[in-house]
Amino acid sequence: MSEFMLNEPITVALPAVMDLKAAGPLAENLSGFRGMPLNLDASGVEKVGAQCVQILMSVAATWKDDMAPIALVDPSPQFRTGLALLGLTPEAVMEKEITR
Amino acid sequence: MDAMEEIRQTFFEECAEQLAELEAGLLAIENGEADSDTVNAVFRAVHSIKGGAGAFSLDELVAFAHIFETTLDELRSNRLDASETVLKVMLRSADALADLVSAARDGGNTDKEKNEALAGELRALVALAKGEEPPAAGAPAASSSSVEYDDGMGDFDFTPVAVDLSELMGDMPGNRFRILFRPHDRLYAKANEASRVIRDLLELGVGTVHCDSSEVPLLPHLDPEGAYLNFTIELETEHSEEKIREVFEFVEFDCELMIEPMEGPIVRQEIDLEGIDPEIAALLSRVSGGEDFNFGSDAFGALEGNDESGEAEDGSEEPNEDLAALLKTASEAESVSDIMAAVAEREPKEEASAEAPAPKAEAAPDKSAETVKAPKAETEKASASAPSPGQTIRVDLERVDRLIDLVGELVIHQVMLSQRAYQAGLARASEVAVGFDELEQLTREIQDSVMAIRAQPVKSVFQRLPRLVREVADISGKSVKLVTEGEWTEVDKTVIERLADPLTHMIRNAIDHGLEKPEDRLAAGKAEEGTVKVAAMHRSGRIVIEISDDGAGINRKKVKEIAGNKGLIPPDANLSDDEIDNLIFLPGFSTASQISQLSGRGVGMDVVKRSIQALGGRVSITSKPGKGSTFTMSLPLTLAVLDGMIVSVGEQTVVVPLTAIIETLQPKKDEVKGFGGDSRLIQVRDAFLPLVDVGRELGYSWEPASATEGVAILVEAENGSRSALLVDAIQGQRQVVIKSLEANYGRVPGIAAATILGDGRVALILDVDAVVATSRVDQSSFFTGMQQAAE
Repeated sequence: MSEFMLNEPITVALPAVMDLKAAGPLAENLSGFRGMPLNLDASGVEKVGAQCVQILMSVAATWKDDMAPIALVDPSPQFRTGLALLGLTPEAVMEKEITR
Repeated sequence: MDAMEEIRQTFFEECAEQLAELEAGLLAIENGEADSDTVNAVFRAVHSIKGGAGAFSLDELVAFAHIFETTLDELRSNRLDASETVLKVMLRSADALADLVSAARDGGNTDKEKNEALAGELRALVALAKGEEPPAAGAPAASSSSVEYDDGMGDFDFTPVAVDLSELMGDMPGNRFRILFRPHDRLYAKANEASRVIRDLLELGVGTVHCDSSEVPLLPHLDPEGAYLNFTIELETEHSEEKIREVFEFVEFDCELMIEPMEGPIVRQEIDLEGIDPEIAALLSRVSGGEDFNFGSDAFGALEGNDESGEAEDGSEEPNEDLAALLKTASEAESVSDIMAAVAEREPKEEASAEAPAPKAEAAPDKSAETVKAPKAETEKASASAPSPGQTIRVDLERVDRLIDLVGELVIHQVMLSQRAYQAGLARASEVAVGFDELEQLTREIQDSVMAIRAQPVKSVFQRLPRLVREVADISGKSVKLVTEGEWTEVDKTVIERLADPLTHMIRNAIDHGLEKPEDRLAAGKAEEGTVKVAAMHRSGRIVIEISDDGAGINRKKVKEIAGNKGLIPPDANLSDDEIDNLIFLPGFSTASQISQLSGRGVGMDVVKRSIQALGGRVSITSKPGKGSTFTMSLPLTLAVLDGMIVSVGEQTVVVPLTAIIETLQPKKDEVKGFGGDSRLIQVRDAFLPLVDVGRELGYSWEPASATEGVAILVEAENGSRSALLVDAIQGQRQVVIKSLEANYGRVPGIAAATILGDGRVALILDVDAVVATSRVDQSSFFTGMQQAAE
C-alpha cells in the first residue's frame, strides 16, 4: 500500500441494517482497517441498534488511541434518530475516548 | 447451528408457548372465566410475538400481529366488549397468527386473502371500539403493506421525531422517575433491543436518555455481541412505576433495572433536526410553535393509532386530537406536499376548536373522563398484583432422555448388585443390606424426579383441540361445542407427543361420523349444537382419555352388515353389541359411503388403534344408540419404567404390570371348573372368572398347566372385566426399566415390552388385556393374528 493511500481516508459504508446480526461482521470488517484514516459513511443506515453503536464507539476510541484520523460522515436521519433513542449523537459517538 | 439460527429457534419455541397462552386466554374469556390478568396475558402474548417477529423482519407476521394487538388493546381497555362475535374473530385471528408463525418457521405459504379479510374484521372492531366508521373493504388501510408495524428499530424515519405536547397543553401533570437500565448481553442475544425498550419507555411520557459508554473497551477487547452501554432515562409521566416496569417485562431477567422517583423538573433533550427532511421539520415547527423537540408519549401514541392520547380529561383534548390526526396524516402521507395540505386544511379548525371546546366535549358524552379512566385504573391494579413468573430453564430434550436412560441403567445395576450380594450370602439384616435398601429408595427417588422433568400436563395437546374442532365443524357444516376436562393431568412427554395424532383423528371421527347434521339433531329432539367431550384422568397408574360425543351412536346393524360384506366376519356371526362396536377397529373397515375430506381415505380407526397400541395403550368403544359414543384410550404414564410382579411361566420369567393386578391366590382343586373345550373358570368368592393359562397363550407349552400347582393372579382389564392369569410361581415385585420390543425386535402379540432383569436376562412384560382377549379366541385365529402382526 502506497504512502499516498495511507494518508487518504478510506471510506467505509456502514450497513443499512445495523442490528445484532450485523455486529460481528462490522467489528471484524472495521478491525481490518486499523491504523488507517477512516471515514465511516452512515448515509445508508436505516436501522441501528445498541450493539453496533458500541462497536462504533470502540472503533472511535481505538483509532484515537492509535492516533489515526476517523470521522463519521453523512449520517442519515434514521441513524441520527436511532442514536438519539440511545441518548447519543453522531458527535458523541466519535468523541468516545478511553482513558487508561 | 449458528447463533442467529439458535435465537430464531428460541423465538419459535417461545411463539408456540405464546400462541398456547393466547388461545387458552381467549377460550377462558369466551367461557366467562377470565379476569383482567387473562386479558393482559392474551395481549402480552401477541405483543411478544410481534416484537420477536420484528427482529427477524417477518413483515407479514408483524403486520398481522400489530392489528391483532391493537384490537386486543381495545378489549383490554374495556372499550371493546368481549361479545361472542368479537371472540370468534379473535379466535380465528389466533389461528391465523399460528399459521403465520408456522409459515415463517417452515417457509410455507399462508392464505393471504383470508388473513387480509381477517385483518379487515379486526380493523372494523377497532373502529367500532373507537366509535368510528368501520373502514370500507378494499380501502387503503386494508392492504397489509400499509399496516404500521414496528420492529423496534425500523420505522425511525418519522416516528421518533416526537413533539413535546407541553408546548401546546402546558406541563403534563405527572410523576418523575429516574430509570437505570443496564442491558446484559443475553438481552441482545434474545433478539431484544435496548433502543426498543427505551422507545417503549418514552411512549409513557416525556423524558431524556443519557448513555454511559464508559465500559466500552478498545476494539481488540470488544465482544461484538457483548453489552457495554448503560442508560439512565429520566421520565416524566402520568403513569405509575408498575406501568414502567411493564415495559421491562420481557427483558427483566436480562438486564439490571433500577427505578427511583425523582424531584425537580427534567432537563429536556433536544433532537438535532439537521438531516431530517427540512419540510417535515418545518411542519413540525409550525405545529409545536417552533420550540423544543422532545420525546413525548402522545406523539408516539398518535402515530401508532394508540388511543392513549385520548385520555386527557378536559378541553385540552382538542388540540391533542387534532395534532394526533395531523401526525397520523403525516405518517400516512406519501409526500411532504400531502402533509402541508393537511396542515393548511386544519389551521382554521384549530382556531375554531380552541374558541369553543365545550360543545364538542358534550357531543361525545360516551368518552367522559370517568369511563375512560376507570378501566385503565383497573388494568394497572391488575398488573400490579400479577404474580411474577416462576423461573424456568430450557433443556434440550435429548439431554433429558440421556439422563433417563442413564437412570434406567442405574436402576438395573442397583438391582443386579443387591441380588448378587444376597446370592453371595449377604444377611438381610446386615448393615450392607440396609444400605442396599436405602440405595434402592434413593435410586427410585432419582428416577421419579427425572420422570417428573418429562411429565407434562396434557393441556399442550388439549390446547390444539379447539382449533381442530372449529375447523372440522366448519368443513362439515356442523355446530360443535368442545368440552375438555382434566387438562392438567400429567403424563410423560413422549406419550403426549404421540397422543396428538390419534386424538386428532378420533375427534375428527367423532364430529364427522359421530355427530348428526344440525337438521337431523333437531329432528331427533336434540340441541342443534353437538357436544364433543374430551376428558383426561389418571386411573390405576395409567392415563385414560375419553372422547365422547352426543351423536347418534353406532349404527350396529350397518356396521355388522359392512363387516360381513367386506368379509371381515362370517355373515352368520353371532356378536355381542360390544363386539360389533369394536368391528370399526378392524383394518379395512370404513362406514363412510362417501370418502370425506375429514376422515380421509382409508385411514380408519385401525390405524388409531395401532398407534395407541404402539404406545402400550389400548382403545375401546362404548356406544348407545341415539345417545352417542365414547372412545376410551388408556395409556401408560411413562414409557420408561414400570412396577411389575416378576413371575415364572414355564422356563421363562415374565413381568406382569402391577397396575393390572388386584390380588393373587393359590387355586384349590374344587375352585377350578372346566367350561367347554380347554377353557377353565376359577371361583373367586361369589364370582366365576376365566382362568387364562399364560404359558399356553404365549406358546411356552402346549399342555394346560395344572391349576392347583400354580398361582392365579387376578387382573382387571381396561373395560373393568376381571380374569385370573395362571402362572407357575411368583418371584417378587420390583420396578423394571422398559425396553421397547418393537424398536429392538418386533411386535409380539400378548407382549407389551421387555426388560433386563437383575441377573442380566431379558424378561418379557405381559400385555394383560391382550392375553386375556386372545384367550377368548380360538387357537387358529390367534396364530392368524400373529401372522398378521408379523407381516
